[in-house]
Amino acid sequence: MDEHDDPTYSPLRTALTVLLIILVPLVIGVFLANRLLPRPQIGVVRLSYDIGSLSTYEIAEQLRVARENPAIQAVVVIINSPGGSAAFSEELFLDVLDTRRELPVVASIDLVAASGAYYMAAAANEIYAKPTSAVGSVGVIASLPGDVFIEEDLLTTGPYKAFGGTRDGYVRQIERAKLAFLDAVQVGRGDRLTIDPQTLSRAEVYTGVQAMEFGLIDGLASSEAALRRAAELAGLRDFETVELYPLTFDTDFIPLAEVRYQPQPIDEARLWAAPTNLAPGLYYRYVEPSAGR
Amino acid sequence: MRKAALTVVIFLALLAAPLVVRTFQYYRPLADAPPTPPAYTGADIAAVPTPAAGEFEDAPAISRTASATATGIVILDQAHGNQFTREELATLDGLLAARGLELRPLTEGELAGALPPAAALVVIAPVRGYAAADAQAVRDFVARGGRVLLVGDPTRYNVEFDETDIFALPVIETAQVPLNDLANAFDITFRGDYLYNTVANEGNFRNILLDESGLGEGALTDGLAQLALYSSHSLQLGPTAAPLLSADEDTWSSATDRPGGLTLAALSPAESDAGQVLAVGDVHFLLEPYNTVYDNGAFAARVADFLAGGATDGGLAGFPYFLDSPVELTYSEDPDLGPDAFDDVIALQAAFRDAGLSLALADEPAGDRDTLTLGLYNRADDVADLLDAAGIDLTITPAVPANTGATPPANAVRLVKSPLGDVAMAGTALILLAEEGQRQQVVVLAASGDGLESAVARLRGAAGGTGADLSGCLLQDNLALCPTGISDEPVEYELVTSGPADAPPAQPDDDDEPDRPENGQQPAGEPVDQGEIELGETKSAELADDEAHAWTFAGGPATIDITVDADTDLDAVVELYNPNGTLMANTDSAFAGGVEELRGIEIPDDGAYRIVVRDFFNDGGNYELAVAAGEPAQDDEPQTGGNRVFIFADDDGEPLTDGFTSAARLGELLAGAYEVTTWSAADDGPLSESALQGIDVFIWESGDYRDEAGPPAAELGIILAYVDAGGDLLISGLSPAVLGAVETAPLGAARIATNDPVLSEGFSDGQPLEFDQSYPVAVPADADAGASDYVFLTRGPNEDEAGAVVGGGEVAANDQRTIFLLAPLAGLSEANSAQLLNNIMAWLRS
Repeated sequence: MDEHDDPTYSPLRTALTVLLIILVPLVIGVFLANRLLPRPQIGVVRLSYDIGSLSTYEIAEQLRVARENPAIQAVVVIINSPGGSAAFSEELFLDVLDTRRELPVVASIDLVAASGAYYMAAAANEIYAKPTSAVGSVGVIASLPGDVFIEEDLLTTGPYKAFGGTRDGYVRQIERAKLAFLDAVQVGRGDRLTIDPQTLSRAEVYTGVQAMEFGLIDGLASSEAALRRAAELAGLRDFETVELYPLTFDTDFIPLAEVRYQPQPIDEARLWAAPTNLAPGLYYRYVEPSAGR
Repeated sequence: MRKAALTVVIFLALLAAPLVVRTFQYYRPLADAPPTPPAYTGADIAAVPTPAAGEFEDAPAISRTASATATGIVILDQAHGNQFTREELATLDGLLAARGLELRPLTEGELAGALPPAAALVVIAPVRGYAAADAQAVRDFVARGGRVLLVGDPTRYNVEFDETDIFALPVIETAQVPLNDLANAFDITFRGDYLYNTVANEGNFRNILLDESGLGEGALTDGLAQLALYSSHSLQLGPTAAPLLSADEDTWSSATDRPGGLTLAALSPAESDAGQVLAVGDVHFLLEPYNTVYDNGAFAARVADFLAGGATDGGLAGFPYFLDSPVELTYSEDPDLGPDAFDDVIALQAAFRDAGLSLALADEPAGDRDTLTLGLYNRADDVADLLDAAGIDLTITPAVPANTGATPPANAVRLVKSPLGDVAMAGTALILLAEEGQRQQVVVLAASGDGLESAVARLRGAAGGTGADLSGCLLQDNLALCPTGISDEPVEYELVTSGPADAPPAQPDDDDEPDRPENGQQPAGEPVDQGEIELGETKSAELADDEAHAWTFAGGPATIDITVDADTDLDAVVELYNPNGTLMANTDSAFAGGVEELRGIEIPDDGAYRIVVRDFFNDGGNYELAVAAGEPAQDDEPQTGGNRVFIFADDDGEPLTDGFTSAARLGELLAGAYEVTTWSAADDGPLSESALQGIDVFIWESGDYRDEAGPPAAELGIILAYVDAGGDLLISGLSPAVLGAVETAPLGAARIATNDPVLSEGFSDGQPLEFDQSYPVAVPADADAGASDYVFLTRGPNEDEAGAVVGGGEVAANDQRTIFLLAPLAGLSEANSAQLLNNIMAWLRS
């Protein structure tokens, strides 16, 4: 029997049925796709100014969030820093290296990534800078302890309990920290590094162009290009950029949208200012000369 | 059934389609996965070990204690902003001490004054430049055999801030440039760089390792295997300098940023082991703990040996370091010593103590000890032998009169003739080092007590044992001629040291006592008025700190004695001012606790005279002030007249020989010291009364002219009026007119009689004075008074009328003085005539 002869046959019904069969799964599929496959994100972390305890904490937290957030497929670290405390620099190096095991990390150097900041950058998959960015200063700076002495009313259980160590011992520590820095750069950069350790240990600050020649960076590129390179490394065709700072730290308590988190412009005077009253310790930090001859 | 299944498939396909589309929209499924992150452990970081301490036992190659000629002093420059502390140099100090050397800092002053007694000079990291005189002094020092260690260090610098521009960058001043002020003369230049080696170093790029290939040959480095210099300049060398330490080809200079060919230490001159200037670009090898690394300690010891090898003979400039204790201090011809001398002795003793020597005043020198002899040129007989041996002749003609206030005649000769040339005694002090075997004798002579004091001040030098200050002296080897700085300095007859003491006796063990200023410390404010004090009254008062008291005496006219009896803690200074505020008298002749006296003060009126009492040290204390009637002061000072001399050439008589006078000779001899007017009777006519107005000495010189009728009455009247008024008179000639027709006798030689010390000054008793020929000379009737008080010249024993008076003097009741000289002054030798005339003038004006 011809379906047209079927008294129950209704073209309208048939059309509705087909439409239902097509639209419903599509609608559901679109709905599910939005839920199950959100637009991938590239997290942006900004290292600005000195590397210290606070900046290290903030960046380490942002990297942790990036690692734990499935939407974040890559991280770009935008660097404007002369470095800072040695141990915190090393902490950032290790955090980036950990993150790199889970998702690509690309370092983008704006004005300067010197000393400890470059130490951190060395752990990234790739490093990009501008042609005249300041890059390098691979070395350690520290003050030596003063003369030792003993006091009548201060009793210690060892000759260096009150001083930490000898000047000579400190010299050795500093030199070994330098070797560790060089080793970290070698590990991070691998075969891409073309400068020999002796030359690198001169701790010169190079321009981006020079740094690329020495294999200290992978290319000259803008931060946007660095984002695209991060996406490429993460296998992304389309992505959105998210600042990880507000994602990590709640800034929504601020009621006015216009003053909600936005990256602060870099204060160059602050960036290049020589530190004052540096606490005792080892520093991977570039210090602008403060005196002339 | 199939239809349902198909429907489900379609449904599911449609359901998945958005996911697929989204996946391809967002991702690149076929993209390469990022490379595996590298593994980082940090476990392979090489250790940077501390080098083992070098095995070093100091064995000094030279000990200066065994050297008789060495002073053992190493001058350490700390006067040019040198960037080190004395504590840092403890190791060097010890090494030098082990070699009998004393490291003596020069904290101020010039190197020229400090180097003469030294064996070596150490200059470390100066940041202030050296004067040309300093550089010359170092060159001279090296030329004499001294050794110099110049040490730079790039870590030692000074930071200067521009106070006028707070935004200006501070400027780093390195030691490089100042060091080159000294080093360049020896073909060595410190570069303003630092050296580094990033390939092989001692714990840091700036710590330069040197192995045997970098060590030059010579005593400084022989046997050493490895050194480490902990930051160093490089040195640029000229042809006369040779590298001592050289870096390898991996060592770079920060100045050129080029490696290789860098010198860290050098010697000049370049000949092996002949170097006297050692330049090192790094100081750390001398410092702990860097001196314990490798052979650094041994190298520091070699440097100490190098310094100990300096053998300078600074000659007199090395005073007093060439002397051996105990040194004896004597005064030539043993004058009576007063407070002035004690001040000098005390100051010299302090200076000697600073130099590590002892000085003792000795009446009779032991003869085998080193001595320091002080004296005046006019009293130098005790050191005549030493002067002769040194080729020094003291010429004093005519002799210096005993009255020190006398003005020497114009022709007076007071010269120090020495290998350095002839110089006037006035204003010049002579310092001579005479060496006799191991014994050193230093002679200090001056024209006056003040000049001697000036010379002694030079010997005392600057504080701190820097030796004598002979700057400004004509100095050559063992002889110095030094300006005394005293204008119109007289050549004094004898040393008088009875002036008020300048300072209390120094405590032998208290070197820290401040020098006593010449006039003490003046209180800040005006003296506090204490009211009046009357004649015969005694007042007690207490001076507070920084306070002076003013007492008013209005009891004049009177002759008063002012006495201040001070407590033991008060060193009183007493000053008397007239109503106009002019200082009339003052005294500070006693020390703390003593009595100060002003005696025989003439108060001419009843004005308000102020007596000011203060403490020399401004510390205050109790005192008693008494004003009592006193006796008029005895005027012991010689009377000194004016300087106008009138020579009356009485040449209009009959000549006994060729017709001459000594007026021209007199005029020449007196011209420098006197205002001389010469009048010739033959040319100028009779003597006029007005011509003698204001004349101080009238010389009536007749030469060989004789006027048996005597002088014209008018002329004689003028002269007698002059004499009656107290004018002094010299009558000279073979037969002066005033004697009339007196007998004459030939005279070829006279002899000196020493009845009066002034008139015979410079001559010995009986000394013959020969004339250029025999002259007919008057023999007065009473000419046999040769032993009288003022006869100074008599006829010689072989002359007619032997023993008769040729020259003598008379003193009238009004102290008017007259000299007769019955002989031609022009017939004597130049020296004798000058001496004789000087004596006569001195006597006339005494």
